[in-house]
Amino acid sequence: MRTTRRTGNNAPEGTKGGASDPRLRWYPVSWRARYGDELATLLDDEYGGHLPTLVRLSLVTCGLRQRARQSGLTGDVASAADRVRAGALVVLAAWSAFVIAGASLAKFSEHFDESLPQRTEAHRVPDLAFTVLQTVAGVASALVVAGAFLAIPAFARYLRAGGWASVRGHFGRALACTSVTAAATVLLFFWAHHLTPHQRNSGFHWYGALFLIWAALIAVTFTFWTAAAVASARRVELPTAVLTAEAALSASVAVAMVVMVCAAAVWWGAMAKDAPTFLMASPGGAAASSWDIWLISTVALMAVAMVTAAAGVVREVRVWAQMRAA
Amino acid sequence: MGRGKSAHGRRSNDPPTLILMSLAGGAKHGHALLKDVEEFAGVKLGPGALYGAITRLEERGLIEALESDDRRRPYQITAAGSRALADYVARMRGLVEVGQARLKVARMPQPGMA
Repeated sequence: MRTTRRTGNNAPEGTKGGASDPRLRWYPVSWRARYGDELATLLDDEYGGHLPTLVRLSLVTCGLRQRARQSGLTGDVASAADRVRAGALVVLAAWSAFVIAGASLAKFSEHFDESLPQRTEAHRVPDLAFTVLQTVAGVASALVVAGAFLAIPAFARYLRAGGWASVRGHFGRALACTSVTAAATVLLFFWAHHLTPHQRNSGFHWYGALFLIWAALIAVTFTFWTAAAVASARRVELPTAVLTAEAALSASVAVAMVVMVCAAAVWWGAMAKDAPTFLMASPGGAAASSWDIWLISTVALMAVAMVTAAAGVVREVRVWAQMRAA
Repeated sequence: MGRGKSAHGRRSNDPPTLILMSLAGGAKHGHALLKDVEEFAGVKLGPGALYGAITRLEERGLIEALESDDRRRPYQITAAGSRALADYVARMRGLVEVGQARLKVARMPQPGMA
């Protein structure tokens, strides 16, 4: 037998059969082109036509793990640049989740000032915490926008080179969802003008239901746009200087998320101390204590996003450290 | 490589170690690898885990694919793979000897004990 040298992901000619096997759909395309035929044959040899559920689940997890390795999220098979980029994109995805949680917190905390006692001291801590939260959120948003602007020239080059076909689906979904959300916004806006303040604030269940659907649409739209941004950023060739700037920006955004979670916790604590009735009468329904389920879910999502962003930054820092050591 | 780690930096019952050991006995394709590993180690690898390990080992140059007209592509261990496995086995042998020596001491009657 002769050996045939292949590096992991370069598919040789004539091995495309397993690439389209639906059982292997969780694996990256390039991996399927190289190993798909063999793995599909092995599955046929071992299990015939029926795959046990555990094997199916194993293929899903192994496929996703392979995707994570190839994209640079885990392992060291991807180039240093791809691993740094993957870390930055983890921060971007975490930021999107954080924004959704932040919007939920903004809705929850509407008019909180009016519930605080009249004395000035009672206002100091929650006002300061909320101001810090809003200011840092603004700064972090500006950093994310700056990161997007930095990547525009590389994205334009990618589109000019015929890359539109590979990201068209992502942008199509995002645009379609944006259209539906815009229509729902118009509908909600005109309906709200025909309702009394009491009806708008939990007094009319149909309006409340539409508001929740609208909020879910906003979240889905945001998620689709983030997916489109991540899909594009994974494909473009970023110059080293731009990649370095993106890494620095993403680290700054992660730090901002830590500050915002701390500020949210301080605000929550101060409100629980000085205006617990505000937390009890949340729009999600009356809770028995200041541990309101809406607020808990919101802050938990913020915390999860913060930890995810920190993991992305750790990934970037490790790669930089390895590059320096080399 | 750290103490207690295999040729590729994992523990001894990890799929890559088992695959290297299996291929040290001769070239095999995926199905034969599964059967061999189950026979000598009593470990039933899943197809996903097997090919995840094959991918990593091939990327590190520890195994290589052999040309075949069949869809069942065989793999063989490379010189680098053999060296890595030999290093690992030597380290494990050292650990086994230490363990055996200490077990002998533990079995010997201690002075002053009934």
